[in-house]
Amino acid sequence: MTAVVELESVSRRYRIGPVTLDALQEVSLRIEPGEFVAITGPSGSGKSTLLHLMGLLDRADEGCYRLDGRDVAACSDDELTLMRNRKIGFVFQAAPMLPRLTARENVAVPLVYRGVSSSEATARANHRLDQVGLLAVADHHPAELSGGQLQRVALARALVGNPRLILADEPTSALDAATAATVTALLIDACRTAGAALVMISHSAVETEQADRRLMLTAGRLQGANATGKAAA
Amino acid sequence: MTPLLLNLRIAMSALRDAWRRNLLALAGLAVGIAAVVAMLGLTLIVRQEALRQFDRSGLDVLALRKTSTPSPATVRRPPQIDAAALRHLAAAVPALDLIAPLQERRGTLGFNGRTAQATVLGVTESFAELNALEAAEGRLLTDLDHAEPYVVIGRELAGNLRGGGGAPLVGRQLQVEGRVLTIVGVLAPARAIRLHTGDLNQAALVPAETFGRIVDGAEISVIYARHRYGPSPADVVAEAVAALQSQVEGLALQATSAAEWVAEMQRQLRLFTLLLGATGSIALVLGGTGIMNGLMLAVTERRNEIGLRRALGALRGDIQSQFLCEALILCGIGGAVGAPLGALVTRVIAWRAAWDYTLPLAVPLGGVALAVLVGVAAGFLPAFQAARLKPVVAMRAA
Ligand SMILES: Nc1ncnc2c1ncn2[C@@H]1O[C@H](COP(=O)(O)OP(=O)(O)OP(=O)(O)O)[C@@H](O)[C@H]1O
Ligand SMILES: [Mg+2]
Repeated sequence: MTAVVELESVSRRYRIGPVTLDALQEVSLRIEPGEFVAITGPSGSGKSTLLHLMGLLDRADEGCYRLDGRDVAACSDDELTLMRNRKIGFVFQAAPMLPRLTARENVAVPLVYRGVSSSEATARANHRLDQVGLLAVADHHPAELSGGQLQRVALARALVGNPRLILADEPTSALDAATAATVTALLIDACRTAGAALVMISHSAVETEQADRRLMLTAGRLQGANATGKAAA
Repeated sequence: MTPLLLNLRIAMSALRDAWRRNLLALAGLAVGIAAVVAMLGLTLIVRQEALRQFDRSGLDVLALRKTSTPSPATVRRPPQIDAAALRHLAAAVPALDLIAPLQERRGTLGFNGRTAQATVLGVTESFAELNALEAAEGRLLTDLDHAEPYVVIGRELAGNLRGGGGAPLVGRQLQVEGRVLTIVGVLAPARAIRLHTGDLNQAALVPAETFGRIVDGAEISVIYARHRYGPSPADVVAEAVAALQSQVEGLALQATSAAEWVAEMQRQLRLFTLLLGATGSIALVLGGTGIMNGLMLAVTERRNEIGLRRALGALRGDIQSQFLCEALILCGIGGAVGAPLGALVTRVIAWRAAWDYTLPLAVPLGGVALAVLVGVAAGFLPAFQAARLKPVVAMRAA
């Protein structure tokens, strides 16, 4: 079976004036469909950078990245955007929303860019909102929702397009413990049900313990021999 | 929803939030569009007027109007333009191919036992030719009518006399200043030459000789004359005035020609064009750059929104169209306010200058189109900037 994510010696450098910063150095990683991988590491170790590369929000300077079997290096910006829209769901730390749209409309945005009809998009958004227990506030605007609710809306939005891969960057670090536990449980459960691979950056042991694999990044390098995943194990 | 509809939704909401910021720029744009519409409108109006003056024939018309100067004591009787003077005019100024002397009087009409006031004109056959008059019923007056008791009436006057009924008027009797005349014709809707003041549709026309018989102290008050429009219309005017004055002692004349009138109109137009053109282009540039600046600011403020949408699947083109949409909506509003304003300005100026206001719809529509063009120009750079933003900004700035 093709891996969802296949990274081979991927590096990412930032040039800030005369200084070059190696944010990621020769990272190799393979993630299978439906797998839950937790990433930990100190601040500035390159966790977000790695997630952005996997999410096609950024491009590697070196190395090869195959998403669902396709080498992304040769893809145009528009092709990357289409792949992102079809295959990836994001959950960010701050749960960013489009403030002018309702919760339901926010959830439906990925479907709008996929050309799904209005009625179908609404139905699917409702279904996902129901799944995270927020159908009641579907017509509310983001400003009217709490942090925990927003993160659940973000979760619904990440799931709405049935992606192969869900990328979560510290999705619960801004929430209190109880809310964080709810959101994490929802996230993990939804990914299991949908058969989507989940990559979650987290500092919480409670959260990372539930992962199939835990990876540690330090100074842009992936630690541990289990970086190539189950298949290699 | 489609990506474009989503753009429109967000655009409307964003503009509602930022309307204060754009107000000044919008005002500038509206003023600019108004000035351009007015400039175009006035130019068109003047061109139409000029065409109407020299239409078909390419002929110029001049008016020699008798002015009522207090007659000096040395002159025994008030100067009168008589048949001899007219003959001399025709002979002395061969450039004139048509001479139409006119006698005017406000008079009382009696019809069916009712009376009404109307302008009575004593005319020759040439008057009809000059004004391109046509008969809707019956016939026009000819020089063969001499002193016959005939009258031709204008369109509206005929309507008034009929009083709603459709009975034929030709052959009926009409009292003019107490004399009984026979209606021989009704004019088709008429538009007099520009130099003629007064509405032919409301007038009663009688042969010049008849006029002399029914009106006390009848006199020729104005002579219209037509000549080929040459290089020096002023010379023809001067020659004509001289010819008449050589025959009529103490005759004071005020001469105007259509060519002069058009030239004067064009002089005024140049002034307006300069003024409106300068105001318009400055206001357009200010308005356009104002809108552009507002949108540039919006792009910076809305980096997160842009990044997030890119992350969720918005193509560069979708983001580009977002800001183009907003620029177009803004400029569309500017155009929608400016174009009617321009039409109004055109109307006021035309009214003040006594020009006919006939503005084709294409002119204000052109103003709206220009506003849209400004929108594309103003939105281009912000849209380009926004589309260049990397999707990764969504998570970097949170
Ligand atoms: N756009 C950028 N330009 C320059 N340097 C950057 C940029 N983005 C990240 N970096 C640098 O790259 C390194 C890795 O950043 P990254 O955000 O991936 O760390 P992180 O592991 O997610 O940290 P944290 O746990 O604090 O979120 C850091 O040193 C950061 O300063
Ligand atoms: Mg990070």
